[in-house]
Amino acid sequence: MLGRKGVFVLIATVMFWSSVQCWAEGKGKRDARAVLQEFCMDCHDRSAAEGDFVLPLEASSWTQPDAVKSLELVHTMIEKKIMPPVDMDQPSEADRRVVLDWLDKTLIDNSPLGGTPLRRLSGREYANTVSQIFGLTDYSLPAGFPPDNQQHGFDNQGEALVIAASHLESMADAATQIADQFFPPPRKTVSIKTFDVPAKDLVISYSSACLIDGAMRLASSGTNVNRHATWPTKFEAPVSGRYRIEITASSFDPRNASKPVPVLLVEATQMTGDEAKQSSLRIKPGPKQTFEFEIGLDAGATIRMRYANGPFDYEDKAAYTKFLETLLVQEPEIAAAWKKLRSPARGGSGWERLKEVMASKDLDVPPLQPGSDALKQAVKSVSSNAVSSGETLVYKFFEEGPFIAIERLRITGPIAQYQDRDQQRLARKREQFVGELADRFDQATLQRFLAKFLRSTFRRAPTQAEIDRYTKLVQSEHQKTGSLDDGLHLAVRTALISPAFLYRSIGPGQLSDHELASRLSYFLTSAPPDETLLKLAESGRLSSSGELEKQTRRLLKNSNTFAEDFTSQWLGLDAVDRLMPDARLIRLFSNDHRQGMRKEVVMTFQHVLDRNQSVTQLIAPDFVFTNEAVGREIYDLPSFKATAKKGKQKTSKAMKQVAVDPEGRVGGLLSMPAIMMATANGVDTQPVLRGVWLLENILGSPPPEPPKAVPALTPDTAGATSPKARLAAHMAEPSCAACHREIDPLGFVLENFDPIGRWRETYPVYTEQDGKSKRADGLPIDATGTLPSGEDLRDVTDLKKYLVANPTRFAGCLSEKLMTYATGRSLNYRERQIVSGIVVAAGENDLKFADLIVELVDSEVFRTK
Amino acid sequence: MFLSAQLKHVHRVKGGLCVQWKLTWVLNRSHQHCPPAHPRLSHLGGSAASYIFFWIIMKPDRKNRRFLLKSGGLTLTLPALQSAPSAMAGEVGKATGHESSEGTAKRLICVGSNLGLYRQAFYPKQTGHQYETTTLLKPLEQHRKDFTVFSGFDHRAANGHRNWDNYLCGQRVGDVTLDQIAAETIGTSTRFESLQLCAGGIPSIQRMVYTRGGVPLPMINRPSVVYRKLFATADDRERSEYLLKSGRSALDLVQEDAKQLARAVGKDDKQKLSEYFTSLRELEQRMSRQLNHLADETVEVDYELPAYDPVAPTLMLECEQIMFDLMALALQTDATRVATLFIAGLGQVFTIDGQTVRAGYHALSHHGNDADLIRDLVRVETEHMRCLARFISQLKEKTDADGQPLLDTTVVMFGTGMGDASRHSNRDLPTIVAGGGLKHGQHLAVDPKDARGQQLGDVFVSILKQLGSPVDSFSETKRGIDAWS
Repeated sequence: MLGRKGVFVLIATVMFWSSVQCWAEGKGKRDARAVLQEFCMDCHDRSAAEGDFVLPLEASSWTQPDAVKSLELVHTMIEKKIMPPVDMDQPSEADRRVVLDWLDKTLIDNSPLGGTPLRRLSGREYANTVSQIFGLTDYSLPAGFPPDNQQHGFDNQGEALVIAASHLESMADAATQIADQFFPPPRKTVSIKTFDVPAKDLVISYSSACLIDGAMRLASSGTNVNRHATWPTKFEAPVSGRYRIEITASSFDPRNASKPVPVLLVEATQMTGDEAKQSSLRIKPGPKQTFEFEIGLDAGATIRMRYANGPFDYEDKAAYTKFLETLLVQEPEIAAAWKKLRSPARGGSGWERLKEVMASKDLDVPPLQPGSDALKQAVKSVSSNAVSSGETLVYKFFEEGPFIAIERLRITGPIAQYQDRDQQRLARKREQFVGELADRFDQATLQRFLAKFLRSTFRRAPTQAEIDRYTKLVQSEHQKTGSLDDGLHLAVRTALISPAFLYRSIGPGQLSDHELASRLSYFLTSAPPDETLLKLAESGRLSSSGELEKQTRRLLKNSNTFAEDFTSQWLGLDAVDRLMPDARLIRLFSNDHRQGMRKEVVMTFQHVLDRNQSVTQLIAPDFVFTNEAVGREIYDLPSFKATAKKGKQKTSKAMKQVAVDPEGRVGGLLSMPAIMMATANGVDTQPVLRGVWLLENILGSPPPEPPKAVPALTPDTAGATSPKARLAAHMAEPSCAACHREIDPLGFVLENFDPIGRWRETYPVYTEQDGKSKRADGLPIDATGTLPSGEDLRDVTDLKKYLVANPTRFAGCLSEKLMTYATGRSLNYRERQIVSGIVVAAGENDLKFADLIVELVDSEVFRTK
Repeated sequence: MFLSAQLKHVHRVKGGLCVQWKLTWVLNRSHQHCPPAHPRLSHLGGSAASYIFFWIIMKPDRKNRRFLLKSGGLTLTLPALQSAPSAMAGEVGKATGHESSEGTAKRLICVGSNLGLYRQAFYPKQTGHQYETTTLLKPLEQHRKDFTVFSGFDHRAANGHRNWDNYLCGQRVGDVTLDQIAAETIGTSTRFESLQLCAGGIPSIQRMVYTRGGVPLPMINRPSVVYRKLFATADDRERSEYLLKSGRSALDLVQEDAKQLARAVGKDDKQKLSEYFTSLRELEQRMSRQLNHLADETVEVDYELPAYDPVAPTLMLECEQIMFDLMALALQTDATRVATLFIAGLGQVFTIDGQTVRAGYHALSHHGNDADLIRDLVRVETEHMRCLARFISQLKEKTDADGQPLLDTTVVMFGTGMGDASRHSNRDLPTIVAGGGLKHGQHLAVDPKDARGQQLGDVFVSILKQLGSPVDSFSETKRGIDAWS
C-alpha cells in the first residue's frame, strides 16, 4: 500500500507528466486545458468562482466525485454552447472539439462505476415488503407515514431517501401496528348496556331524512347511504358482538294502503360474515309498531336504516325520469312553479319556495299530457341536476308521504361477544406465522422460527450472531412478562426498524448475489426477492448471465406493477390526479377521464413490453388504448362518435384498443392526454415546461439546472401578440437565451394539445356573460419548432417521425431513466456511455423492449452498487 | 451598479473532503434582497430544485452543522428538524421550557374552516378601531379589544380544491406550516410538540399541517381519542409504558444490527449510516421524554366528555365545541403549546337552536347568492364564531403558572384557505387573530388585488416574532404588521 508520502510522489509525478504532455501537445494543436484556461478560468477559478462554480482543472482533484461532476457540467455547458456566455469571447469550433474530446477521455478515465448510496426502502417499497413478508395482501401505509423525497423524478433514489427520527418513529409505530395484528393486546370485557336513541339522535345527511313531529322520516330510496339512510349519532358498538335492537316506527301512504307495504331495511354499517344479519321490517301504514330482533355488530359499527321501496330514487337516472313523468302529469303545478323559479334552491328551503309559488293565484298551470313535448321539457328541466332537485323534492314526500317515520330505537348489548371476521382472519394468520412454535417453544424451535423470519425480513440468510441476538430478545421478554407472544411481538417490532431490513445496496463494488436479487426484484416488482430469487442467490447462481436473463424475463412476465410504478414516476403522472382542469375547458372532468388517461400509459407500455416490440412503438404505435370518456371527449376518435347518441345512459369505463395511423397525431407518448395534462397546469399550457419535459424525458438531453439568482423574467411584452412572441423575450436576455433557445422552440411543437390533451388549432378566448363564460377562437396555434440539432419541425407528427428515424435517441433516454430507477442513482458520464453502447448494439436488433431490459440488467452498470 | 462581496472558507476534513461555502451579498439594480428563484425551481418541484440541505459532521466540536450544498437535480428535505433543538437541549426529558425564547407569547392555536366564512357577513365596512360590528363578529363583541380582523389578506396562491392547504403553508402547498415553525421554538418542552385536531369527517383532500419535511400530519377527530392522549386512563398508560419500555430493548438491539452493518459498508456509506444512528438516538430521547411524562401524576381535569364520540355528520358543531374545550384544557395543563383545529365542511345537516337547517353545509356554501341559503350558511358560521368566543372567554379565565390569563400569552388565529367557497377562490381569506399580547381592537384591510400589498404571510411573520421564533419571513414576505409593532 502507498503511504502518505507515496501518494504525494504519485501526484507529483502525474502533475509533472501532465505538464510535459501539455507542452508536447502545445506544439501541434492547442491543449484542451489551455483553451479552458483562456476562456473559462477568469470567472471560474478558485478566487472568482462565478455562479458558485469552480472548474477543477488540476488532475489531482479528479479523485473527488464532486470534481468529476463539475467536469461533466463543463462538458454539458460547452457542448450545448451555454458557456462561455454569448457576451464573452468564444472559442473556435476546433477549440471546442479539442476540449470536448479531452473531457470525454478524462471523464471516462476518472468516473468510477456505480456508487449508489445505502438505499432505504421507499414508502412504496416498504408497504409491498411488509405485505409480502407477512402475507398481508391488503396492507397499506398508516396515515401520516412520511412521504419520500424525490430525486431525478423518482422516489427510490439512494441519496434522497434520508432517515430522520420522525421516519424511524413512524416506522416503529407502523411496526407495532403490524405486530398487534398477529399478537393483539388482551381484549377487554364489556358489560351489557342499554342505549336509548330518540328520533332526534338520528343522522340527517344531505336530504336523507327529516325530523317532523318528533319522528325521523325517510322518503327516498337508493344505494348511496349518505343520501338515503339514517343512523344513530351517538351509538357505536363498544366491542364486536350481538346486540338486541328494538325499533318503533310507523308508515304513511296518502295514495292507497294496499300498495306494497313500506319496508325498512336495517343493517350493520360493517358486515361480518354470518354474524351480521340484515333485517327487513314490513311497516304497515297505521299506528306505531315495535319490532325486535338481533344483529351482529363489529366494534365501532352501528346500525343503518333505509327505506327499501320508497317513492323515488333521484340518483337512478332512468327511474327518476319515469317518476317525474308521472308526478308532473299528476301535479303540473310543480312543473309550473319550477319553471317560474328557474331552479329552486337545493333542500328544504327550495321546497318552501316552490310551495309559496304553487299557492299563489297568478301561477299559470298548463296541464301536462303524458308523452307530450311539454312534459318532456318539464322533466328535463327538473332532472338536469338530479341530485339538487332530488334533495328538494324529497321534502314533499317527507311532508305528504309515502314515508317511514322512526320514533325511537333501543339497543341492548353486547348479548354475546364474538371474534369478528378480522379477528378470525388474524388468528389464522398468527397460526401460520408462528408455525410449530405454537405447540413447542424450546430454544431450537425458536431459533428455527427466527432464522426463517429474519431471512424473509433481511432478504438474506441471517448470521448466527443475528439469530442469537433476536433469540435472546424474545426469551428475555418472555421471561419478563410470562408471554411468548410478547416476545414475538417485540421481535417483529425490532426487525422492522433494523437497518438490515430498511436498507439495501450494501457493500461496495460488484453486487453480491443477494444484493443483485434485491436490486432486480425491487426494480421489476417494487417488492423483495421471492423464494426463487433467494434460493438462486444463496446458491450463488443468480449472477451468471444466463440465469439473470431467465429471472429478468420471469419477473417481467409476472410483474403487474412495473409498468405502472415506472411510468407514473418517469412521466410524472401523479399530476393527473392532483390537477382539476379549468371548468371552462371541460364541464365535468370525471374519474373516468383520469382513469382512462392513466391506464392508457400503463397499458401501452405493458403491450410493447409483453410483445417485445421495438421501443419506437411507444412513440408512434398504430393503436391507442382508451375508454369512452377519453376516446370521445378528449381524443375525439371517430369510433366513439356513435356512442354519443342519446338514450345511452352510462358511458363504459372499459379500456379499448383502437387502431390509429402511426404517422398521425394520435398515438404514442407525445400525444397522450395524461402526459399533456401532467405537463400543463390545468388552465393553460406553458411551452417552456413541455420543452424541458421533452428534453429530459424523451430526447435525453436535459438542460442544466437554471442558476438560482436569475431574476424572474419580466419581459417587455407590450408589442407581443402571441405566446411565441412573448417567449421571444427570453432570447433577448443572453443568460436566458443560452438555455431557452433549446427549450422554447421544442415546447411549441406540443402547443396543439390543450391542458387536458385535446387537439386545438387556435388559442381560446373566453368572455364572461351572465355569469357564464363563452369560448371563442383566438390566435391560431403556431406549432412549428426546432430540434436542438437544428432540424425544423412543422408540428408533433414531425417530431414523431424524427424519433422513429433516430430510434437510439429515445431508446437511450428511456434506458437511462430505467437504469436510474433500477440503481437508485443518476448515471455518471462513463455509465451513460456504457448504456449508450448497449442501446446502439440493441439498435442492430430493432430495439426490442424486453431484450433491451435484459441487456441493461446484465450490464456492469446494473451489477455494480 | 453591481456590487458583490464574498467571504469564502475552505475546509479540509478527514478523508480529504473539500467543502466550501461562501456568503454573497448582492446589491443589484433593483435593490431586491431576495431575487426570486428561477420559475423552474418551483414549477417542477422534486425534479428540478437544486438546493439541498445536507448534514455534514464538520469537526467533533461542531456537530450537525447544517448548510447548503449545491447538487444536480435533487430536492432533499429532512423531516423533524424541529427535534434538533430539543435533542441538543441537554438533559433528556427535563423540560427546560426552552428559555432562550424571548417571545411575549408562548402558545399558538390555529383554527381553519374548510368552507371559509361568508365575507359579506364577516368584514366590517369601516377599517380601524371604530368599525361597526357585523353579523358574524357579533358573538365576539365582548372580546372586541382582544382581537384584530383582517380583510383582503391572502398568500397569492393558485385556486383549486387542493389549495385549501395554502392557509398555513403560504404560497406552496407542502411547505412547512406556521404552527410547525412556531413549534420549533415553543413546542420543545411539552409532552406533545403539537396537536392536530379535526371537527367533522377527516377530509381526504385537505391537510392542514405540514412538517418541515413536507409530511402532512394526521388529524384526530374523536374527542375521546384526544382526551385519552392528553389524560390517559390507567389501562392506556400501562400499554404505552409497556410499549415504550420494551421498545428500548428493540432500539438497543437494532443498534447492534447497525454496528454489524457498519462493518460491511464502504467508506461513503458510513455517512449514510450515521443518519440512521442519529435518528436512533433521537428516537430514544423522544421515547424517554414520553416515559418521563407518563411517570408524572395523572392530570385531574374536571371535564366530562359525552358518552358517545360526536363523529356523526349532524354532530359536527358539537364536536367542534368539545375540541375547542379540549384545546383549552391542553393549554391549561401544559400538555402542548401548539394546536390546530380543522373545521370540516361536507353535507352535514345541523340543528341550530332547535331548528334543523334545511340543506347540508356544503350545499349552503355553494349558495350561488341565494338569499335563503346564505341565511342558513351564516347561521352555521355564527356557530363557529360562538365556539371561538367561548374559547377566548375560557382563555381569559384560565391562568398559567404565573397566574396570568392564558389569553395574554396565547395567539389564537381563526382563518381559512378558502376565500369564497361558492367559487372555490383562494383569494382574500377572512382571518381573525386574538390574544398573545398583540395590540388588538382594529379592522385592518388591504386590497387583495394590489400586487405589492401586504399578505397573510405578514400576519404570520408578526405572530412568529411575538412567539420569539427566529424565523423572520414567510412565503417570501417579511414585512410584518405595522399596527402590531
